[in-house]
Amino acid sequence: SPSHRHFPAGGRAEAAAAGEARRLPVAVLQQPGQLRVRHDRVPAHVRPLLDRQRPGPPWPPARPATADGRRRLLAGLRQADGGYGPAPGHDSHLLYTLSAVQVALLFDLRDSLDAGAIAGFVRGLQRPDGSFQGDRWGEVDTRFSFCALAALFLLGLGDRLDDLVDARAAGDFVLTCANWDGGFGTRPGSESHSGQVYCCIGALSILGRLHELDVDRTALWLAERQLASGGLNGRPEKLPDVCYSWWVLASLAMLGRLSWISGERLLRFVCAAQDPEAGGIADRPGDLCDPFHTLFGLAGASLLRLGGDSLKAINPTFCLPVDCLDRHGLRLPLWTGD
Amino acid sequence: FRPAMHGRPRVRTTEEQRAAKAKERAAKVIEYRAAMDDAMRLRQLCQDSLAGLEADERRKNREQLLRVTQALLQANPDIGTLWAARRETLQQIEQQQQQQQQEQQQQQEQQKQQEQQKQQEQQQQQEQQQQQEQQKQQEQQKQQEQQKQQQQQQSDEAIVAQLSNELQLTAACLMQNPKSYGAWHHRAWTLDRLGVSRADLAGELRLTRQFLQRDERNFHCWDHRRHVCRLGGVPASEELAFSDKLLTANMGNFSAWHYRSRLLLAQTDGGLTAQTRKRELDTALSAMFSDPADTAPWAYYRWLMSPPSEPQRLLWLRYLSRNDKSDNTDWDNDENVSSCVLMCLSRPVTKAWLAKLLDIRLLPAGNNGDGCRLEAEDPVPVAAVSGCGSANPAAHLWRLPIKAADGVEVIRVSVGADSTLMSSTVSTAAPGRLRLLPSPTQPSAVDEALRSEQLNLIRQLNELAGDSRQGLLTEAALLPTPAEALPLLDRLAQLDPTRSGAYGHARSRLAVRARLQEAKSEPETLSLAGLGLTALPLMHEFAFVSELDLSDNRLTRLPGQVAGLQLLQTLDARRNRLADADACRPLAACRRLRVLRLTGNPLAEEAAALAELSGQLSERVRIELD
Repeated sequence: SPSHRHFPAGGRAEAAAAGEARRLPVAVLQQPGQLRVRHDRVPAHVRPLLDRQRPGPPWPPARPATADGRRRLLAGLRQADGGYGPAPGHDSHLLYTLSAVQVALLFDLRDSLDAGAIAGFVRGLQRPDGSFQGDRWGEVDTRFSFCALAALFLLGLGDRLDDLVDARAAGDFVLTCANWDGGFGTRPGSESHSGQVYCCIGALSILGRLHELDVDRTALWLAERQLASGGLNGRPEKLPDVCYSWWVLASLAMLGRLSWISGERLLRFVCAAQDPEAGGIADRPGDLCDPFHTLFGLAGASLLRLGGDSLKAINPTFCLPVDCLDRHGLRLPLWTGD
Repeated sequence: FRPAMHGRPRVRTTEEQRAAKAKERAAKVIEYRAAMDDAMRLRQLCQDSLAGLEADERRKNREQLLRVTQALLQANPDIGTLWAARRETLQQIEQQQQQQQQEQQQQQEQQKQQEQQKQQEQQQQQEQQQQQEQQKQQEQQKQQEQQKQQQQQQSDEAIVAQLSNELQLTAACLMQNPKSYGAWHHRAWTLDRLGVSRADLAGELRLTRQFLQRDERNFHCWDHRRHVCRLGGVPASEELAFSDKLLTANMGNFSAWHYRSRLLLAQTDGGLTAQTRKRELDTALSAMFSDPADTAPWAYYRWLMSPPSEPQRLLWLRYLSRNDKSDNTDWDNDENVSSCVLMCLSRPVTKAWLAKLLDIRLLPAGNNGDGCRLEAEDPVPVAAVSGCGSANPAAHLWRLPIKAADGVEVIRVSVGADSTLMSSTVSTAAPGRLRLLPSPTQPSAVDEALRSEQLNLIRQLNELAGDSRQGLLTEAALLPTPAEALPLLDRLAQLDPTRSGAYGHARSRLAVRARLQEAKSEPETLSLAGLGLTALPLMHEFAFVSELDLSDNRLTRLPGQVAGLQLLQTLDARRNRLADADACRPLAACRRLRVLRLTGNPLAEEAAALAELSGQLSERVRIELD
């Protein structure tokens, strides 16, 4: 049960002492466009996104995790084929392999990863047309192209991609999933979808092939995701959703065109989607919050750089704090074309 | 992509309700864990099934596994491991049946051989009965063939029955969870396993139709339909008719318009015929006229009218000589490089691509031949636009080092074999040191008559419907010259301030393009003053300028591509919105810069910022603040 020793004194301390875990708003919109983060109220799962160096009361730990515990968790997720599954005992898949690498980087557990085994797992999933299947059962999706390339890059193998996989074919396949409207789909012929756009732009960014796109056309399709509410949707005529503030925003950031949407209006939408009682962020205002949308709401807000320095800088390709990538010597220059 | 954590409204609950719910959840978790453990245990058993269990035991384990996984998947079809367990089981069943089949066949073969032997002996003994025996043989062979086919069919039927189970299960899962990746993939896998000859593809198309009736934008379902069509070789014409039906029912169905575009492209191998384009334009227009507020047909229309992308071409060449005193510049450290040619391509390329195709020839004075081919030197990218670190930069601009150019009059640069678009010459003596290639006289655009006809129609529609985002975007896209589109972009920015950044960028691009197109006697002096620029696109196209006037614009920063202005000596940036030294950072790479005018920028009022900027730039740069 949570330790309440570090909560500020006063009414809350009593309630805390009574054993009730009250969770309070994490971030408040102080003035229009200004996000202020209350570090003492941050739930554990988003802490890695925030600046540990800021002064203030120390984190109230829920159940303190240890490096050993995390190592064991990662080990339990690893399968014999070198890939990682979503939970202990579950089959490996590219999606969760990327997640495992991201978690390892966040918590400085890179040494628990067997880069060679993961690279072997990834390579084995590439098909002759350059696409990647998620696992041995053959589902193809541009998400998996991104997972494969991002995992290899984050393992420090970014300058050896040509040796490890058919990098050219991987990029060529992604480009065949480009549509006339500037977006990208799951497979060749699939409809444009923000999530797939993020994965394809991310993949091309890692491969250094963004210059082969009509950048303005893709950026305009992305900019058109913003609705009157300020929120972003996934494709035309769909509802806005906080997770798209990440997929769309990160894509625009990778293309150097963050100014093509209204950052203030988006931030207002994200803040409105926060559950003031639970503290987390939901998909849209009024819904139940969850870690998924909390992560992407905060990461999107960070990209907007409207919160002063209350949110760490996030890398748009990998959704990891820039300082985390720096710590591991990983650098991916962004698009600098016009 | 989107786990089940969407669209769940927050409901105020009491402590009591919360507690009851928590209890319920806890009970469900226990149930779920028990079922998962069971499934994993059974899966393990089935995988180890080669280890001496009775056939009966194995069958029972498999059936139980299928039962347990079915219940779990119907509750949550996104547990990939469980679908995998089912697929393994199906493979095992298939393997086992094939094995049984083989054994039976072998037995039959043996029997056949034995009988043949017997028969042969009998023949030798009774030649009179030869004919009868032969007949008997043939009958027996026939029987065996029939038996074989029957057995094949039986085991086929058995596998088909199993696979049909999978179809039923996935259908049930999809009824509850029509967006489950796991369920759709398993269904596709099952169909692949059945193959064209055994799958009910018509039924499958009907199923996708039903799901699209529930949600016409369900991309999983659309992807599945594409898969089925590929499997069954359904012709594009049939699917076009299908998309027609959907659009007649609802012209706002983006997914159906998209489907149409891909079908047409596949049919015509990438390029639409004039006839097809006209037909599609009419379809889109009738939708747009009946309801201009529906955005889907407008986007499709713009695609139909969009010009094909322009081919790669050489834009300009500029010769630079180290020895020329007027070329007052800092050269690279390589003492051997006496001169270079700056080359600009319309689209960025990588060094790997360029190195293979680059051909540089030196033609000395008086030499009318092919000249002598220069040994390949590494071309150097200038102001790269992208690239993974420095490993693979892509750039419009390239510096081509030239050694030993004394006595050389003309340099020919070619990239690849296309000599019209990708080859030109430049002179080593002024005034011919800058070669601007003429832009193609007839832009490779859509037919002019068609464009002007469509422009009229769109203008009529816009008059009827009033200013709308779609209307303005479309009209702007149809205008023949960039200058004409500028006022439309202004109206767009007013109508749709959310995207004013995007429109500002597009407007800036058009304004720069318009200015560049105006004929100039002195191309090395370019004025982009007073254009309301919020961005500075197309810089590579004029990266040879020595004087650039950017005054009276709305630039908040000088973009990275400014570093490509290698010959820039004077920059007038007065009356912009440059706020700090960082906004001018790329100028540090402009080695020839001598004069920088900054009056009327916020930066000009900040002594500290100016000092910082001075520090960043070479001491030869004079910052003017009159």
